[in-house]
Amino acid sequence: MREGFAGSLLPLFAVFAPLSLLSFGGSNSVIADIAHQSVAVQHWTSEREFADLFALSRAAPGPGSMLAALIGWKLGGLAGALVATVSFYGPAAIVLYFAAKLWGRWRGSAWHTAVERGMAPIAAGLFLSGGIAVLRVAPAGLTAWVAAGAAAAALLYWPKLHPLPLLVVSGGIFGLVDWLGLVS
Amino acid sequence: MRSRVVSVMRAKPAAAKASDIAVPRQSGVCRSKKAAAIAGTATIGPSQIGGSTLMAIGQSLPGANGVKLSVLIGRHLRGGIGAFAAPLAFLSGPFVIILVVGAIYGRIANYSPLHAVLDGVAAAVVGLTLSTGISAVARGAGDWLAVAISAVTVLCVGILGWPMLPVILVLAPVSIGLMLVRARTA
Repeated sequence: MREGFAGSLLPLFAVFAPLSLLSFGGSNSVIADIAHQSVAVQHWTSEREFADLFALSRAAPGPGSMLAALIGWKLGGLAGALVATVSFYGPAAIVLYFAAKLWGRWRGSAWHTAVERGMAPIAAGLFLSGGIAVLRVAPAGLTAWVAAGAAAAALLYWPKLHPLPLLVVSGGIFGLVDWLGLVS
Repeated sequence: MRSRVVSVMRAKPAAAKASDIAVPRQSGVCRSKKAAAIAGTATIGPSQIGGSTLMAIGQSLPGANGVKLSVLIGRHLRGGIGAFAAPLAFLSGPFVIILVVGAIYGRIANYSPLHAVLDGVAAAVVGLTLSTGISAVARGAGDWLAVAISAVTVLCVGILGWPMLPVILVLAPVSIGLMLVRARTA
């Protein structure tokens, strides 16, 4: 699996660095492309592994975007994890470092407002796309769609609900159903 | 040197605030750090950085929200070095944790009930992401143009599965242009 720099590290950079610059509204907005690239294009993970790594990255403390580190780790050990993480956070951080000051200065101008208003619905659409993309590769199939819909409905109905118990309950139900052999 | 480290360290919990501003429901750690962010950042104060600058950055510059805020705070406190050190500090803990989690997963990946549990966790996480997206769309529900742009984005990226780069390269200028035209004509 560890084929050296050109084998696994370079593709990690090539995938995650552009996504860094596309993560409008936060790293959740590029989940759709990470799923697509990992499973279908680069064949870094199976659908099974992607669902597992996705769940682990979001259940562990820290930014959910540590998914990049997990995929990198799977491909190239510590070096892979480092390359994926730096590729995924670095470019956006560098852009921000240089753009933030100017950005603040232009605040209130007509086109600045237009950029904010124009990018917000795209970010919202990317969030939804990310959810759909993960469900499409999820091995649990229809069950995952139903559970995700129920979780989304619960969070919309009770906005103050802490997400962590929801993850535990959902994981528990799926585990229990599997253990009891209710779904073959 | 010591005070430099301390103030950068102090900036670290405040980075969690970013997630609270731009994305309402992040994973648990961000929320629990919210109080720490407000209590522990007397040197800058969340309103000074988080309030004005981060809201100005908002969604129009890319990047993970926690990392964005830590870069801003680091730069505010210590310039270039700070902008480098703060996100490094912010990410180093989760990075180590995720490697441990990954290593454990590697050991027990053959244990099949684990996959069922992780399927359930993944589904709930997707629900979380969907609810964030839905409430973001609902916030602009009165604005048919914003809803239409969100719908086109979902169609292209989520349903048709097109790569994000070309989609955004086309949609972003169109969306921004339409918002600009509408502001001029209103």
